Amino acid sequence: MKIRLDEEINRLRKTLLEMGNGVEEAIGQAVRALKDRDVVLAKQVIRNDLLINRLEVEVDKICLKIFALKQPIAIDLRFVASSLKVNNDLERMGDFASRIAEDVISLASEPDLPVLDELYKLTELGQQMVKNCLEAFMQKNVELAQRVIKEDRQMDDYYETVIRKIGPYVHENSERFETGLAIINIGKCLERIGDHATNICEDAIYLTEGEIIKHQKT
Amino acid sequence: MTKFSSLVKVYYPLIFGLGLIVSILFFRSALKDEMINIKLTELDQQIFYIKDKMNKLVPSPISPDTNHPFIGQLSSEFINHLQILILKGKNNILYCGERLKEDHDNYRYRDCRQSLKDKDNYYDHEMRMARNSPSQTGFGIRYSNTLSGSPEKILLFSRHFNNHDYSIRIIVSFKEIQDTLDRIDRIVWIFAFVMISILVLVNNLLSNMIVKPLQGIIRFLKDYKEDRSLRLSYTSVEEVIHLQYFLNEMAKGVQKQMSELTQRKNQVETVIKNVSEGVILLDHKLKVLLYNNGLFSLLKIIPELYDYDLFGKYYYEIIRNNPLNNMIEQSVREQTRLSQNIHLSTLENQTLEVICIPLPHKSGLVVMINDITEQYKLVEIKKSFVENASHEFKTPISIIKGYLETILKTDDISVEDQKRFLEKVLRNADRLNNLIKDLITLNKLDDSRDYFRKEPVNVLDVIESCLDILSLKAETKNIQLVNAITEDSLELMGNQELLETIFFNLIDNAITYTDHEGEVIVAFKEDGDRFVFSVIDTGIGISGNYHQRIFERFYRVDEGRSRKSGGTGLGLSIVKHAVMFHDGEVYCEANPTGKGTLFKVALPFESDAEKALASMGSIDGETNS
Repeated sequence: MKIRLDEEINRLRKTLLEMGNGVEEAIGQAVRALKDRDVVLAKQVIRNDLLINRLEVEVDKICLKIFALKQPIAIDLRFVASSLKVNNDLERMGDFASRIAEDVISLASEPDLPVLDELYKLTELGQQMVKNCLEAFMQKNVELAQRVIKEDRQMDDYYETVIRKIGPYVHENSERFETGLAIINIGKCLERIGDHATNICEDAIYLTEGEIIKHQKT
Repeated sequence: MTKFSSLVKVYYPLIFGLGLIVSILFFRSALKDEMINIKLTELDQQIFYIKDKMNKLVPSPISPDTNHPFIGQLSSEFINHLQILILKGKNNILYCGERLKEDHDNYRYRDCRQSLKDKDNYYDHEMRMARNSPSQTGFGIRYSNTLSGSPEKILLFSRHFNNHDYSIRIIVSFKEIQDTLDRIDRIVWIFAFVMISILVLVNNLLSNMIVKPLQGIIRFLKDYKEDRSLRLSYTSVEEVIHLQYFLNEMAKGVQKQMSELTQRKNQVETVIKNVSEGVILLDHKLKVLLYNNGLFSLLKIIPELYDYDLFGKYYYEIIRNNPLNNMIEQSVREQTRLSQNIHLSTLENQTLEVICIPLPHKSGLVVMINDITEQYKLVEIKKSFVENASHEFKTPISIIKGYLETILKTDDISVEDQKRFLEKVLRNADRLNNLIKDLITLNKLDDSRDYFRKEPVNVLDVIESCLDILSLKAETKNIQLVNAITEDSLELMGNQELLETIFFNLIDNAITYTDHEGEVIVAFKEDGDRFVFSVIDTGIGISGNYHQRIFERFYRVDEGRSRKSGGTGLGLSIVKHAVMFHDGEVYCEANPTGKGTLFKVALPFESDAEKALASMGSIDGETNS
């Protein structure tokens, strides 16, 4: 019985990682599509979101199967319970990547875009956070989880910079109001992705230490 | 499971000891019976002797009532020391020996002719046995409590004579037989004890001779896993020595093979670790067996997350790319070699060439990863270059063809129209010519070292000559050409032709993309060991997003406008390569003073060779001083 439980948990790990890779790739592709004004790539990101949604259902099924048939205890129980929540966070991240891609399509005809550098910074940090939060969760690495939680503050700072810079731009180019809005939306999506990465890291800490650190101001 | 040592040391002596004791007891019982038999035979002979005597003395039948004189005559030296009782019938005492009277209290006051009473019970078990048994004898061994001394074991023997109906019974002490038996017992038990002790000792010795070397061999086999140089020391038992010898030989062979294998493994590992490609070896469960450092940078793996050790991890835990993971699974499933290009979702758009090779008998998989981003980009550039070049050739050729066909096929075409059409043909032929010239230049620049040589060139002269040539074009658009260089001479090591190409193209572009009444300025600044020339215009400007891309071949920010202006789309690409030939840099910025564009060309005025010469000179100088 123990071997079977291990096998199921390994399958869960694999599917979660596959989902994480999909999300990470979706974010990267969405922003590359923005960089190159590549509508085809943006559409591909939207299509790939279906795959992420399918993986979410798969993870749910595996978790419920483990609960129903194997009755996990201790670390296994915490892992499966946390996986259900991580699954939800990853799916939301995928949705945000898809929303970025939608904005990219609306921005495709724009010749040049403001505050791209800040958006790139947000993307790079966002991708890194997605990768690291899953790594922290899978490797039970509390140190890394705490680092990612700290990085979320940096993410918020970058987002604030985007907002600060886009204001005067929209003010000066009132005809490009919609462009400004799309850029803000992209920034917001990236910032929200960071928040979900933080949630996963909090789950990683719970998984490793059994301590709930959510909603605790340090 | 039984230990050999306990078998030899405990169980075997125990079984032997038990067997010995049982044998001794059996022997003792047989011996006792035999001794009693001998005694009984002896007693029987004595009884017959007495009977013979009695027959001589007394005529038969003997009547109990008869007071025969033989009673007194029977007493003799021989009879007196016997405990003898002669009964007539069942209860008439014919004779009671003196010895019996002395030793047994209940006989002491018996008269010979006294009848026995029921309670006296002299007619005992042996008597009954003798009267009733066919052999007419009976015997018994029991403790007598009627002895005058302490109770002791006695042997009673009776014989009945049917013809005269009388019985003779003799009682003898059993002590003699008992003493003999006790003596034999002592000897036999001592012998048994000695035998068992010897057996235990011998077995211990045997066990030690076998078990100790065996234990040594077990210890050796256990420790051999850790230390392959271990060998067994020989003992004194020949069979064990053979075993130890062959084990030692085997250990020697294994050590040799292991060292060879380790050496080979180290060689392979060294090769794998040092190849630039990323290599990862997975076992049959698809867990990491071997990998190299190239993998970390190629797959963006942060080694410290895994404590710098990926061994034993599942491939999907470290390779975070779904297409690559799918490829690994497919290769394992189908047991086929797969090769595929995989794009990483990074901003740099990295491309990896991945080869999956399954190992025989489903024992694992080798994944080889190579970064082919540059090659991939080159292929893409080549592809788009061919597409662009054919497109660029096609347009003027179609135009030329169209006009020439019109001239040839129209009969009543006027001379003016012919001239107008032919001028257009000529213009497009010129455009084709320029295109070919540019392509040849670009081709030469790809192998620039073979075609161009560096010599001292005064860049100021080059710029002035370019300005001269282009002044006419500037004048037609009423653009002011300003040479803001104040220096008299700016000499560097370079190629005159390429420098002319650089400045001609930049200034020509500036004039082309500047509207009427505009201004084009050529400025200069010295920056360390470089001359930095700027060509600034007040034209339409280039958006920041395109500042990098305009140097690509055939790249145009505004397709329509560029064609109209007659450009080939190769000018800035040629400039870039020409500047690269001079180890310089060219970049584009927005005009800092407002509208327009600023191109900066930075050229080092000391070539590497000169620098080397200069440094050698300074070293010489230092040495001389």
